Amino acid sequence: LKILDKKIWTYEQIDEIPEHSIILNGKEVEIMAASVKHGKWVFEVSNKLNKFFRKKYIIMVGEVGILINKKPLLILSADIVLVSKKKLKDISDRILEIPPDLVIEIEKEKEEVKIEEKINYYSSIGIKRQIWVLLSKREVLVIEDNKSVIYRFDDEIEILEGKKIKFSDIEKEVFK
Amino acid sequence: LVIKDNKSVIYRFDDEIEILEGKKIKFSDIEKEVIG
Repeated sequence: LKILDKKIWTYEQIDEIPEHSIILNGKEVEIMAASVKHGKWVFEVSNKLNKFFRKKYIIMVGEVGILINKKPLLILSADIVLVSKKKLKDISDRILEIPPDLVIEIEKEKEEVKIEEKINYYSSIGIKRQIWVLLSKREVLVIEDNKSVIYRFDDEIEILEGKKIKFSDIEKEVFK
Repeated sequence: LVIKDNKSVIYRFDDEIEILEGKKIKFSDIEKEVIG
C-alpha cells in the first residue's frame, strides 16, 4: 500500500481528486496496474452481464469510484458495478455516492486494500450483493445481507434476479 | 484523436472512425448508449 501524497483530502474537495485514485482516511493511495488476465476477466464478465442486465441496470467497469465515508474521506474503486436505472438517473462525471446493487471484483495478484477490509467497507454502505471472483482458488465468494457463501467455478451462481452464470464458462472465454 | 504511424488526426464524435481492420465506429452512437 503506497500513499502517494501527504495531503489529506476532504469530501468538500471530492471533485478535485485525481481520477484513478482511491482515498483511504483522506489519503490518496496508489492503484496497481492490472494484469492482462485481470483485464480479460473484467471484460468477459461484464460482456456476459451486458446481455442479461443492460435494460434494467447501468453497468460500469474500469475502477468506478464508490464513496464509502465522508469523514474521514474514504473512496474505493470496483472492477464492475451495477446500479438500477431507477436509482441512478444521471450519467455524471462524479463518483458513485449511492450504494450499487451489485459489485463484482476480480481478485488481483496484489490488492491495494485487503479483500476482507473491502468486503466490510462495501457492506458498511449497504451494497446489497458482492461477488468476488477468487482466481487463485477458482472459487467465487458471494456476499448478501452479511451472509457469505463460497462456490466453485463449476457451480451455477446467481448474479441478480435469478440470472445465473458458471464462472468456468467465463474462464473458457478468458483463455480462448 | 487517432495516432497511427506517428501521424495524428482529430475526428469529431459524428465521424466514422476506423478502429482496426476496417471496422468503423461512430462515437456519437456509443455516446447514446452511455447516456441511455
